[in-house]
Amino acid sequence: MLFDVTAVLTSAALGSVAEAFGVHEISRFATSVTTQDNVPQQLSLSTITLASDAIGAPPQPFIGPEPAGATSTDTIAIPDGSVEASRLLSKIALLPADEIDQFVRDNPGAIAALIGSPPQSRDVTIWWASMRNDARVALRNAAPELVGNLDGIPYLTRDLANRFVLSSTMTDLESTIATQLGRASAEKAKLQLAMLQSISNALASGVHAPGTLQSSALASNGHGAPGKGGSANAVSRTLLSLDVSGQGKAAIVVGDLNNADYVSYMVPGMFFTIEGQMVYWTDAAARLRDEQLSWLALYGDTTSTVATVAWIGYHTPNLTNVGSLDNAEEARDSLAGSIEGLQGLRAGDEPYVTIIGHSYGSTAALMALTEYEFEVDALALVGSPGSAAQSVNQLHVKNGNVYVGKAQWDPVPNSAFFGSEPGSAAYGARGFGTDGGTDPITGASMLRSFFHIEYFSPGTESLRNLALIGIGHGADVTSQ
Amino acid sequence: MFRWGESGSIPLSTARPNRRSDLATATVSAVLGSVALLALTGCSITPATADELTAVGTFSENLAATQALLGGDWQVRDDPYGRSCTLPGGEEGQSTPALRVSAIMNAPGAPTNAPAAAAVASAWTQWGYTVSQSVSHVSIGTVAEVQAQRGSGEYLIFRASDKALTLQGESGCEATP
Repeated sequence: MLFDVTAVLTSAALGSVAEAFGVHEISRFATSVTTQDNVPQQLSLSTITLASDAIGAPPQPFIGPEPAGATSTDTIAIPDGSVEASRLLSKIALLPADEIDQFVRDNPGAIAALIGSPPQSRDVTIWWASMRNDARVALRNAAPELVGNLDGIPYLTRDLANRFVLSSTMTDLESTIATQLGRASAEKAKLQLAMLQSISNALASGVHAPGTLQSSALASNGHGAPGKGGSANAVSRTLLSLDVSGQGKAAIVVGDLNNADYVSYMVPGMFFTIEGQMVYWTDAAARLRDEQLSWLALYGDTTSTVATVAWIGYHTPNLTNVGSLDNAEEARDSLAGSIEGLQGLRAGDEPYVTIIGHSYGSTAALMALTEYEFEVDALALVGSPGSAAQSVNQLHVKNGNVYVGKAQWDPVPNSAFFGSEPGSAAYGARGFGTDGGTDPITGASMLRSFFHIEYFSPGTESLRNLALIGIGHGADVTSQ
Repeated sequence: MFRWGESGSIPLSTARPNRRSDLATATVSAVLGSVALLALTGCSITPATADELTAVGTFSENLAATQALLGGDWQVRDDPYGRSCTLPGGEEGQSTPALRVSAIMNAPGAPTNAPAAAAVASAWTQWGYTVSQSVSHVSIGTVAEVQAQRGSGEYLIFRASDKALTLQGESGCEATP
């Protein structure tokens, strides 16, 4: 396959930092819980123990107090299923606030397993709502990496938790580097710090942006955490999810996900690493948002609001593993959880949701929209190598709102590498233009998209069309 | 349907003044021409006087001058976050984005979009930008568009429909303080 020079160079640069990327270890363990006669009640830490390799228990009710009559010791298996994970959440909800910290310290494997194999977002939403406020605060302080990554928890809470994890991890890494104890560990710390710095930059860039009136209101501590002069509400960036390990994963929202009328998830593909592309992808999300707000106004709507999500919530592939669907499966599950979480939190006030899938990310999006039950309002695929789905009728996209763009010199869309060619007539998606044109008066070239990664460049026909698709005006996209 | 390549009716000057005094002179000429054009078309937007438009040069100055050229009330909807870019020497820098919106209260079908785009294209050309124009035909009617580029990545996009005018872009790449 051919790829553009930038992408290849990026890959080469990133190759030097490639390492064994950490993934959440999904261990098998169990909790033993002893309850008293009358439930619900608070559990004593002394009665909860975790042990590895326990045998899984049959499915139980997800959320809520223990069933009446549960007076003996229950053994709850927490392998990799959301049912068991939900049961663990319900146990946490019953802990007194002052015992949550100790519970988290004693059971790090449980927290890791919950993050790696989270409960369904609707269960998380109910669970979070059922917790007392002091317990929520205690859990956020004790396990911010859990609170920050559970879809279904309110976004402001997640943002605060994730920013804390980012900031504290960077501080720890700087300390490790400064101590110079062990060259290998210092070098490893530098690589991880560079990755996290990209997230911090994406969150904090513009704090010092020249010429912006709002800059002074966005004082930061330099690690992406709100400083004394600002607050999470004052900024228009939300750290939706964060994994500081290995290659890293993160999703940054531009706009207000709690209230936006239109939400576009941007899912990237190969070569999009956190270190190399988090800032670029967040900028691309910001440009898409600008374009959408501009077009909404042109349609006569100056009140609707827009949020775009720079979503790198999975380990994107490189040349060594792009032929496998393993990473796409990870993205499928994570993306589905994120959107289900949004639709759950906004139930009754659901925004217009669009997924924009690029390259391998489009394959992941197609898999999510085929294999999960949630439905989105529109899907835009650019540079897509396809998926097992053979037509728009197999996708959970309302009214068949599926659009496909293909840039000049991009060989991927015609590859049908993963089983289908979304741009083919038989697929049933609508093609949209990306090629620009020439102004006959000035002779100037209109901006067109070349190669595999230029679908999001400002001023391009491609970005215009993606913006229209994301605000429900897909009927006005230009044709290929 | 959208068709790239349709354009406004005003021949664009290719003059690219280098000195500030030349720029000011050219600007005044462009503005006067634009004022005349807008008056002829019966557009209800209120253009600025020439005195208000002599201060052109930087990205933010040109944004303000363009708004003044077109008149009306503008919402500032700028993203407060800078955007990453690369300086000529290879260092990381930042550009400043902008998004301005002006709703039009005219009666439907009022000929605001094409004349406004022509005026903007003329002014931007005089200010040293490389300009291109196009017209979209979308469900609500015609949207005229002008794009302009200059220097180290600076760009401006102006669009005009019967319902609103929008002005967006990013400054050239500047060193991060």
